[in-house]
Amino acid sequence: MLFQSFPFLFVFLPVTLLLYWAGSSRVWRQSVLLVSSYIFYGYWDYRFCGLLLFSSVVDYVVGLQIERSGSPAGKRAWLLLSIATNLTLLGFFKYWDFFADSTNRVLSSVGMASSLPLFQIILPIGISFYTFQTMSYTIDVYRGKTQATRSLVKFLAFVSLFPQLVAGPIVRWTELDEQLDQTPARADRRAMALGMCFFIVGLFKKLCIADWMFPMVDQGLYEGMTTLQFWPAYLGWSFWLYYDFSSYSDMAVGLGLLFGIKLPMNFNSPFKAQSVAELWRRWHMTLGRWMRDYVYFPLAAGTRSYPRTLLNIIIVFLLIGLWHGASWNMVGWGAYMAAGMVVESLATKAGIRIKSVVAKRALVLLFWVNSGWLFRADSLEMTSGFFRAALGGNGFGAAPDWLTLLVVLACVVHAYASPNVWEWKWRFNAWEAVALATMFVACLLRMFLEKPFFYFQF
Amino acid sequence: MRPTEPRLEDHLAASEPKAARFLKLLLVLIGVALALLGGFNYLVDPYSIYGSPLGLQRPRPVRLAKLDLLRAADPPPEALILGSSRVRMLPPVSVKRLFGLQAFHLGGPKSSPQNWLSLTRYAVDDLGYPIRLVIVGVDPSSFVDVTTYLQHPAEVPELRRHLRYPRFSQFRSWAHLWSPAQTKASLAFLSATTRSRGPAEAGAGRWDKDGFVLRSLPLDAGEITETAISLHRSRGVVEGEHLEDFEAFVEFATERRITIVAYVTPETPELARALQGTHFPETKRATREILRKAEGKGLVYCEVESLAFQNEDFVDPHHPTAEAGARLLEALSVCARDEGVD
Repeated sequence: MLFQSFPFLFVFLPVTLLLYWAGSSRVWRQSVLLVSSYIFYGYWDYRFCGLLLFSSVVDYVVGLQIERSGSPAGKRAWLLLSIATNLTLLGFFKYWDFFADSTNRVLSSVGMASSLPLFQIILPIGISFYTFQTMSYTIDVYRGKTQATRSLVKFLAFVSLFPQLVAGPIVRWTELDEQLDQTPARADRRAMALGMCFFIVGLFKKLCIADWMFPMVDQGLYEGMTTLQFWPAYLGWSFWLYYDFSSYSDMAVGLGLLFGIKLPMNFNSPFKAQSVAELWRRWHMTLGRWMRDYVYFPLAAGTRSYPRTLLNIIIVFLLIGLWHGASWNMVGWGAYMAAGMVVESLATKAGIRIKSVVAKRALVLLFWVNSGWLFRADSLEMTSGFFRAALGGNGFGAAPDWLTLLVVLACVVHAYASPNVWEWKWRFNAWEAVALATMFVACLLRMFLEKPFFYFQF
Repeated sequence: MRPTEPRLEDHLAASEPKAARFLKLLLVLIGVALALLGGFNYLVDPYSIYGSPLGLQRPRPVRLAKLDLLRAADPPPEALILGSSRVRMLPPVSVKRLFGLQAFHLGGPKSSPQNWLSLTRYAVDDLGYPIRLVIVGVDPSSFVDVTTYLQHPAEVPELRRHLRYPRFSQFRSWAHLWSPAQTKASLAFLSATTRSRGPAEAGAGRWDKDGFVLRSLPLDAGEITETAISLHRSRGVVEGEHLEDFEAFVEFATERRITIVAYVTPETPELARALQGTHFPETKRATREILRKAEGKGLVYCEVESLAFQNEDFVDPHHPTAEAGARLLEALSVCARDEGVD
């Protein structure tokens, strides 16, 4: 079920909200969240609910066992079981075909027969998000940062919480543990009002900006385009992704607030970043945070060697690339991001500094936009097609697509000048209500073109 | 420099009564706006879907006009021709000559699995016609949810109950009260009515009694090309719902021993070239793939690319001439015979 759909907005969400606030017991509210989240998830394909349940139950049991286990070795064994289970699920459903296909190709290229089967598996939506979420729970229990929960209902509700289930933010148990236990008699109107603001602004960004510009910018990214047609579309595609992800993040936080739950922010104007490192603290913030805490820090523990630090950065970004998709393009994209981080680190170490904020931001934007060669393309063949179009291989063309160019310029201005939704000074006055109601109706009029979020594929 | 840490607490410091008033006002405004928009579309009701009490003079929708003809068909048809306007040059009399079956032409504004399923079920179950053959012109966008919902059989009560989920379809039909297409149609309809031009012609006298077109409305080639480009600009994702409806259609035909002869409708080479930069080739490939997979399971798929149509074989970028239609039908009959269909 998409957030921007009639069934969600006019049936699922109102019913869930009414039921949630109708009861005041902890178990009631957790149960409503749990059942509604599974309905939300099963709406795509009910078979994937089993997988979600399996992953959740394994980590629930493992959490308890880690706590009960007397010896460090026992705790470690249980943790390894959790990590192995989650990575096996992720590996099979997301990476098996990629691995098998690559192996078959490599072996056949050296004349060896190999026929690892390709299962053409449909990627269960949100699997990359919820497996990371459950893994962070068992790791935190193992590290003693949190206690294992006894409540299965609460844990299942935490993993499946529908506002963030399919495209983040990747929430930690420590962030939701207490919130899921809160049972105020009535909803906090301030949280609800703010939630509505976040949700409607996010909906507007998705339907009236991202989806509106999508045909314009995506069409340019096909073979046969002339250089002047290609570039505006290519730049525009980066902004489309910006709005698509930003909109989902706003809607997720807004929905959380409607249920009195504060979810972590996942998007913080990434194009305002002045370095690649900062870009990753602003874009998909909870993924960057996860990788930092559960991969980078353990790798960096006990070493102060600079080359080792750089190697750790490369490992982390290759994993981030792979997390985004099972293809060589994504591995290349991760390597590109790693290269950016390494070059930036080396430059800083060598004392090379750029003083102009504008220049720094322009460099970051250029760096990000250029990653689209790999991030947007479905294959390396498509990437080479992009290069051909960009460099005049299909001719330069008579004139650019002026409308697309204008849209890109407007996006640049907006991305740099406009604050994030959470930075706006909401006054909760009549003008804001009129503006939001107008935005909602505008969204409604575009809702018949249901287009999923880009990050759903991860 | 570290970015500012996002904080929600600053906003949550606002006063509770003020937030409550804001929330109420926002919900009321949204409710009023929805009521006004929905009410406007309900009252104007340009496609006669909702039974508006205003009694504005409307054209009979194409689909309903053809169903009237189908009900009156005599002798009862044994074959149906289904598809969009792109199949309009497949004459039922030629089907009679080539396949030996009395045919009725049910080509309408959209070729979709929902239409094929509901129209065939309606003819067989409600009207009791002894249908043995269905010829389907599958458009490259038939399995892709990019076209307006207003050409969906859920809009026609007689057909709605033959869909897989009639109640859900009815809900979608009501949801359309707030759709841009419906609003645009309402405005256009009102504009035409107030300028005393009367509603656009829908069909009276356009078809023979076997549903075959007598008089075509003029179409603008430039407009068709632009519409097709705009349609295929977005990535054409084959929708699971369409595939399931298609499977239900094939299953129904198999159960009732009806042979389906399907082909992908051609377009001019000129239009195909204009669509090269879009998702059209990919969508067309996917459509062929779906038909190939269904082949042998009650469906005969005929590849018509070998006919190598040229620009002059079409009256506009999508619609074949009568001669090209005859060649197409001839090729379908040969293909069907090769597959063992008598």
